[in-house]
Order: sequence, then C-alpha cells, then structure tokens
Amino acid sequence: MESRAGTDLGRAIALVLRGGTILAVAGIGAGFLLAIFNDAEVGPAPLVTMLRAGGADALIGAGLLAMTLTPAAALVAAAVVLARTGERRRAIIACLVLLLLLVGLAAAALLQGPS
Amino acid sequence: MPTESVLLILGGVTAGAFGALLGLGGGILIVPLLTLGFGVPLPTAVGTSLVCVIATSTGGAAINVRAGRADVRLGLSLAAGTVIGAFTGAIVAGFLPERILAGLFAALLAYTAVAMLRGLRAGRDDEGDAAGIDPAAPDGAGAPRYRTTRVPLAIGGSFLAGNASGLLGIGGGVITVPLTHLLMEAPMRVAVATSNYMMGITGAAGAYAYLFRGDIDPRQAAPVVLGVIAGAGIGARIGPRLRTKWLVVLFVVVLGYVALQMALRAVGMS
Repeated sequence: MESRAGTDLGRAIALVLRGGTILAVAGIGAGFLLAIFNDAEVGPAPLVTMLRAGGADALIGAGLLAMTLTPAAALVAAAVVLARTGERRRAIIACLVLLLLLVGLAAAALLQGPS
Repeated sequence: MPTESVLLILGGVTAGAFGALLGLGGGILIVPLLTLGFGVPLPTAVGTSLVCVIATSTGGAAINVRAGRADVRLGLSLAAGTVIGAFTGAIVAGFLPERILAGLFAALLAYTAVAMLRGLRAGRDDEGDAAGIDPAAPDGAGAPRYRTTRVPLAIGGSFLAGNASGLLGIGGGVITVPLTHLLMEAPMRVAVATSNYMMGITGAAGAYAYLFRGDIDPRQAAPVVLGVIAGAGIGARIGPRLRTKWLVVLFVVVLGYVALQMALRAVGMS
C-alpha cells in the first residue's frame, strides 16, 4: 500500500507537470496553427525577439518558455510537499536544484544574444 | 499544412515514444533528424532538442510519477549532479575538440552496452516484474522496496550525464539509466522512469541558454515539440506492458547505434 507522503508527492508533481505541459501545448499549438496561415517569421531568434514579434512566433515563444519553466515549477511543488511531510533533507536538495536552475535562467537572460 | 511540418510532427512522435520507453530524452533521434533530414545548423538542432527533452520528460513523468514508477527522491539527489554538469558542459563545449569528445563518448557507450548485456545474461533483473509486483511501489514507510547503493559515486556519474546533455542536446538517459540500474542496483523499470523524470530538470538547465541566445527556430521547434509530447504519452502508457528483458535489449541496440555514430565522428568519417 502506498504511503500518504508518497501519494501526495506524486500527485503534486504530476499535477504541476501536467498543468505546465497543457499551458505549453496551448501556446505552441495556437502559435503553430497561426503560423500555417502566416508566412512572416523571425527564424532562429532570442526569446525576447520572438515575444516582441507578436502573433505566431510570440505564442510559440511563450509556449517554449512555459515548457522550460515546468520542471522548475515541479521542483517547487516537490520541495513544499517534502517539507510538509517532514523530509527536510530532501526538501533542501529540491530547493538547491531549483536554485541552480534559477541561477542558470538568470545568467542566460543576462547574457542573451542581440534582440 | 506544409509537408515539412507533417514530417517534423511524425519525427517528434517517434522520438517522444522511443524516449519515454527507454528513459531517454529523444535527442539522439532529434538532433540527427534536424541536422541530416532538414539541414538545420547544429546549435539550433541542439537547442530544439533540449526543449524536446523537457517535453518528453514532462509528458511521460506526469504519468510515471503519479503511478509511483519514478523514484522522485532518488531523482532529486541525482539531478543536483546533472544540473551542474549541464552548465559545465555548455561551457566546456566551446573549448574541447569535438573528435576527442566523440571518441570518449563512444567508448563510454560501448562499455555501458556490454555491461548491460552481461547483467542481462547473468539474470540480474527485476524480480518484482516477474512476480507482477511493481518494484517501485513504496511500502508503508514511503520508501521503495529496493535499496539503492553507491549514491555518492552515482551523483558523480550523473554530473557526466549532465555534461553530455549540455554538450550534445541529449537528455543524458544513456548514462543515468545504466548508472541507476547497474551501479545503484535499482530495478530497470524504476531506472527508466526516474531518468525520464530527471531529464526535464537537466534539459531545462541547458535549454535556457539556447532559448535566450537565439538558437531555437520557433517554426521548426513547434511541430517537433508537439509531436514529442504526443509520443511521450504513448510511450509512457505502453512501457509498463513491455517485458523488462526486451526493454534492456532495445536499450542496448540504441546504445550500440549511438556508439557507432560517435566512433565514426571521432575518426572523421561522419
């Protein structure tokens, strides 16, 4: 029989992963459909350029951003559930991994290509 | 719909299903598909591949984690190593000659394939699977029924997996699955599901740089990512019905193929 802690952790992570995926698919899917009827495109471009371009590219860019942020959001959910169930060491590890991801995100945003 | 988009979606579905079945991110298929099939520059293919790695992970892991097949606690410990490795890999990529890297990678993959085959022949496999018991199902204390060993060594190994991810746009499953199964002695099915969960975190660490730097083409990435998400869901659903033995055999075949490609690149024939 599965424990309450295991069930809560699995549920919370699955919920966030599913939610993030739905959000990402909505953005990427809408952008993809719009792109079929729109020839103007930015090509390979920094995220900021995609978002500023508007229309299909902005929707796809927002979807891609949602996709890349989903694992980080799942880490937040894992840390919260682990802390609540008294698994402090595991919660700290989850926070440490999350911090590393956020540092990478900040560094990438600061050192981004020309937009 | 343009033919290219249809082909990209189909390629994504195949890579996603394959990735979820074997605990891989699908980058092994996506990078060659984009570079060789569609003439996409390598950095753009790697960037797109990393987003697909995350898509494979989130699509499959939502099912695996909920069903208790992925060991989240183990995955978090190893993810600390893979994330640092992915950052380092992205930096080292600019300095290390590609042929040396390819040669080292080919040797590692070939060794892993042989080790997994030997483990299979020695009958070292999931007893729980044979008895129809889910070996990953936590017991009353919330801990899995198996015991993992050599955790510090495995975290060091996961650093290498992250390195490979940041360098080559793969999920790192070719390293983390054997690492978890052979070194840590977790059941194969748990190793595959846990790797699938981890690679989303690893992929994100590398993907941010590519996304902000401008190495992703939104019009090419969209159909591939959508296909990968659909394929990952299919793979995660049919995976539990497959026999572990065949999963290992399939995995060894993939390792052999990638090792050959890497060896050819190392000697300048690819």
